[in-house]
Amino acid sequence: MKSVEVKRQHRPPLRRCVELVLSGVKYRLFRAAITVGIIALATAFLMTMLSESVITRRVADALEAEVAPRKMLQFWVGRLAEPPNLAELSGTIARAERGGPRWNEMRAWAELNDEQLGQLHDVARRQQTYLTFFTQMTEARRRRALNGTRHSGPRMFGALIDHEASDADTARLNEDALKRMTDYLSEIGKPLPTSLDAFEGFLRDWWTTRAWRERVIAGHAEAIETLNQPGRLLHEREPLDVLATTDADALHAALSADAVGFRIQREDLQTVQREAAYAHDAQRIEAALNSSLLKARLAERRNIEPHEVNARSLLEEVSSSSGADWLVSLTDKARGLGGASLSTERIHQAALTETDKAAVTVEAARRGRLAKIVAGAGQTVAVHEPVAYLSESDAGVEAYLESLEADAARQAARPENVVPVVMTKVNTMSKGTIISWHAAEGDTVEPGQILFEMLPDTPPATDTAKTFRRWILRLCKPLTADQVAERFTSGSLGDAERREYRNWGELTDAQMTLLVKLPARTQSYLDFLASMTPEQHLDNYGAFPAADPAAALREALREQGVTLPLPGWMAQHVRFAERWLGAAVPQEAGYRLFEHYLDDRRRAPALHARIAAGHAEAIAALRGDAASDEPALLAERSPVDLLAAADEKAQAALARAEFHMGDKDLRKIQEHVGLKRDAERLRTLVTAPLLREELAKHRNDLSEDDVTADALMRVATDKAEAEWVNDLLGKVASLKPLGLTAERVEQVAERQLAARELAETEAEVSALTVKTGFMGFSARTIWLLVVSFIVCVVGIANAMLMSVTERFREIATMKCLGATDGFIMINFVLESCLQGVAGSIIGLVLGLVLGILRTALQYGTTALQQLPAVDLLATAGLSFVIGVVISALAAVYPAWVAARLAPMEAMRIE
Amino acid sequence: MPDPDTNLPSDSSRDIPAGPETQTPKSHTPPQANDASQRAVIIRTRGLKKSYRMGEVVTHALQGIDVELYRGEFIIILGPSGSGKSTFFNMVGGLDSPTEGRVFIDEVDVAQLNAIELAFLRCRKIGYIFQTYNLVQYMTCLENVTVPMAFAGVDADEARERGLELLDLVGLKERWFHKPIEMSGGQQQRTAIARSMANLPSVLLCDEPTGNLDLKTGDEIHKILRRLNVERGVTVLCVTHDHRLIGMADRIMWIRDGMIERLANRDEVTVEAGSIGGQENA
Repeated sequence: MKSVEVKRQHRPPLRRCVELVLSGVKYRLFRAAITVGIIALATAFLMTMLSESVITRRVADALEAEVAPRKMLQFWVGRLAEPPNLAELSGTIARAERGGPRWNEMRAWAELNDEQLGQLHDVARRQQTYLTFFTQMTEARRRRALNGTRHSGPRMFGALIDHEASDADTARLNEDALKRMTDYLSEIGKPLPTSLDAFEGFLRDWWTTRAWRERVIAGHAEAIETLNQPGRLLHEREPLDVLATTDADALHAALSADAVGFRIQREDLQTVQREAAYAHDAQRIEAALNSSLLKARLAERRNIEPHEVNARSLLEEVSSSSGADWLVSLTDKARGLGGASLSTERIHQAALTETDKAAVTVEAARRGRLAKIVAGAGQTVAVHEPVAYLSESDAGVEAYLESLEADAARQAARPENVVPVVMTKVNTMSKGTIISWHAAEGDTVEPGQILFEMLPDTPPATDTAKTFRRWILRLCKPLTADQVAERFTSGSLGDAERREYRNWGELTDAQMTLLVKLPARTQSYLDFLASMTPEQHLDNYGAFPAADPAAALREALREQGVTLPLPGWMAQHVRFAERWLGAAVPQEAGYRLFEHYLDDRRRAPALHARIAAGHAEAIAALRGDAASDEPALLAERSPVDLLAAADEKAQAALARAEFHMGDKDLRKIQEHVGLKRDAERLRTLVTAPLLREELAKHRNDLSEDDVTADALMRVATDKAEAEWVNDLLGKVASLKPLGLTAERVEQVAERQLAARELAETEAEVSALTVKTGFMGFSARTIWLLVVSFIVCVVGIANAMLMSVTERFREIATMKCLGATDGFIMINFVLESCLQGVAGSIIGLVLGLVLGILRTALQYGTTALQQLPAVDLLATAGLSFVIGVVISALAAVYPAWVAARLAPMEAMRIE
Repeated sequence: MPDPDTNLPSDSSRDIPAGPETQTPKSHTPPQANDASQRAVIIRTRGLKKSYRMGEVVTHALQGIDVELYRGEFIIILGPSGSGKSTFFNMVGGLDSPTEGRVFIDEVDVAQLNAIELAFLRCRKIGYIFQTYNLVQYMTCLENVTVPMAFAGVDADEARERGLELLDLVGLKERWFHKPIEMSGGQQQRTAIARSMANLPSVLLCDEPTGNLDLKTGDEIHKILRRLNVERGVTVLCVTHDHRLIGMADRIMWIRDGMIERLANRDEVTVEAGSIGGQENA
């Protein structure tokens, strides 16, 4: 009988298995898709986390590189402003490289040698270890550990030193405190990072080197002080401005001068200067926000609410070229507006003063030779009447004037070569008084050249202007006797004026008293006459006749038995006397007094004339017409200028010429001059295009071309409008031309925005990197990852188990056909692996995209520019492997179940 | 085409004869013809017992079967449901291990084989044909046929060639590329037959091969089986309810209550056919 040889079963090649599995998967595509989906989700999650972490780390590195120049600038601005404190210094020492710039600086400042600095360096490094250890404790614990110290910086170590037993060279430690500290630390379970011996050694070194540290700080402070001395780099200037604007060579020389001792490398200096220039320009751009007009315009431009306008929105706007152009042109338009600070009232007054035209300068309308001035200073001429003639020949003018003289109708034909200069009409004036001539006869005048100044006869609106106007007149036009009399009659004669008159007329006190009292006496007699009854028929005498007929008046009064009154002052005395003496004052007294009055009245005109003459002399003296040793005040400047100067010298000179300005007038004139200056200031404002633009916008009746200084003045005479002008000035306050090109503005704004974004990102990134645990994940994230993979494993296992159950018959048949358990098992694991491959690829692509998107959202473009391709590929590889391995692992149990299936299941009939 | 006259009416198989049961508890050795002792034994069982434990109840599926089947025989196993014929079939096919007793296939004690050796045995010595065809749904006709060849380590080209040859044998050569779903039941079963012949097994184990088929296609399958038996010398062991097969079989085995009720040559049965039929019909 033939015996059969039984051997181990052949195992089909892997390729065949893969084919088999693939066709099986194709057949059950939906279930496979679900499994693939589960794996894809888990892998995507992992990949997102990993890629985010990788990108974040890269962003952090890139940020560090980008932020470095800015930090360097801050460092230098800070150290040029003030010396570091102890903690900062320790950091600097710990970071300093032997022979590096910081090292050399400190060596020079503290006059230490390399060995000593090395020791400092060593102490500083050790100190950082302990400082970190102690500062990580809560403050209460730190205090308790360190002998109750209140310091938080390096000074906290002082608590462990026995200060009384220590001196500069030796440190005695406070053994009790140390003992308490070690006990406490072991009690709370936080041992020192080093041995106690090392800590004690550090404390001793720290104590003995403290003087050196103080020397470094002192040296630094001294260097700053040197730089702040007059004439030195930082004298009354901010470090940032200095760094931004000083020439590199000069800066380098000034900083590294022996007495100063800062060490900075050329390339570092360049970086710092470049950064400083940006920071400086950015400051200027952002300063434009102080103007509310700009804010309003920006809000309008960006279509946002004015209160939403901030530095960021400004920067965003000007980071485009159109925005930059806009800002530059807007600030340029504000040229001439800066620094105008006036009150509404002041603007209003200034405008009023200005429109009064208290004194007007008249310019030549054409070129010509000024042949003859017919109206000299002080003369009043009606509007459009000639004040002078332009002609090449004097003779022609003379001839013409004579012919005019002769012709009563003044119709004489004017020769063509004689051109009259006429009184200009300003506002509503009808006559003008020449104040002074700026050109002399025989001069050739050019168009636009000032010929003369004149005073229109329109009454001024403001009080100060009235005073000013009066003074101008006084200085150019001699009073007539009548005018003098009128001044006395007006009763408004001040002390200063009284003194002037007395001096001009060379009057005695009695004469002066006479003149001063006369108007009052006249008035009392006039009142008396006016009070008479009609029967007394004295109406005719209501006005005083000439001096002599007064006698007739007196006789008439006597005849009618009229009692003449006593002047008011005397009447009181008389009433007083009557009451005490019991006797009536004889009527005769009244007549006597009246006669005295009439005498005085006769004398007064002569005195008035003397005063007027004196005034004319005084004016002449001022003009330098009369021979005088004094330099003529009005020879070179007009009365207007003289008054406008209102200085002491002018005052003194005026006083010498017996012009006395009372305090009241002086104040008024000064105020007037001030208002004139303000008006002048307002006039220049109109040169700022921004104001013209705003004014034209504000006033519908004005186009931008119409906006002149006069228009502004007219507008501002209205009080409400003056307020508007004032508002505008307030709004544009501190808006001044940037002095930057649009390109620069754009560049600076872009940079500044990027810097802001960087700063935000940096904060986020540092918050992120601070929390780093394993591979930069927080514990929570790791927990999530683990859970997600457990879910994934369970899901895959479940799907595969279902697949096994579904395929019981198939598996059993295969076994009947000769499949080994191993083959079945491999088949299932392989199937899961293939699904794992597909799922992982989908998942990692998805996860990568998600991760990049998320980081891009978080960190902006920085993240995209800094994509770490190699690291991401490695991460993708890792995710892939994890995904496949997990799916393979998940399939092991279902595959085992399948492999253990009894082949007789193939017989089962459902 | 089998002669319709040889086919017993199908309903007759349901009958449970009272007589033979008492008569044949010891008929373990086949009452063979004289030349039978000279023929090679392909399958031998010794005291084959099988019991299943289902909770508290122990079911004795086989209660001791001793039988010898010879190379090249066409044997059908008849028996009512639950008689243990399927259990016997599994034991013989190396698909299950007996509780007691032994099974030798080609003189190899199946119980001595480990899982991998069993797989070898199933792959090359035995061909299985199932009532539900059990074709792999996602494979073509040809692929299904070549699966066992792949397990046997036949290289792909040879497998394809042999697979086509086998399909030709069952008349499906032109349809080698069809998936099972695109084929009729008969075609599927023919494919299954081709597959069972893949590694030229010694024994074909058929479990109700025509149970899901109509009469005509069933006949075709029967004819193919018989042809394989005759032309290729394959031993065919067929569990069936189909009495038409009796006419084709060399021997017929009745199993009842886990025992061989009767084992007879075809000629004995056909001679007795009338009486059996009469007996059964009675």
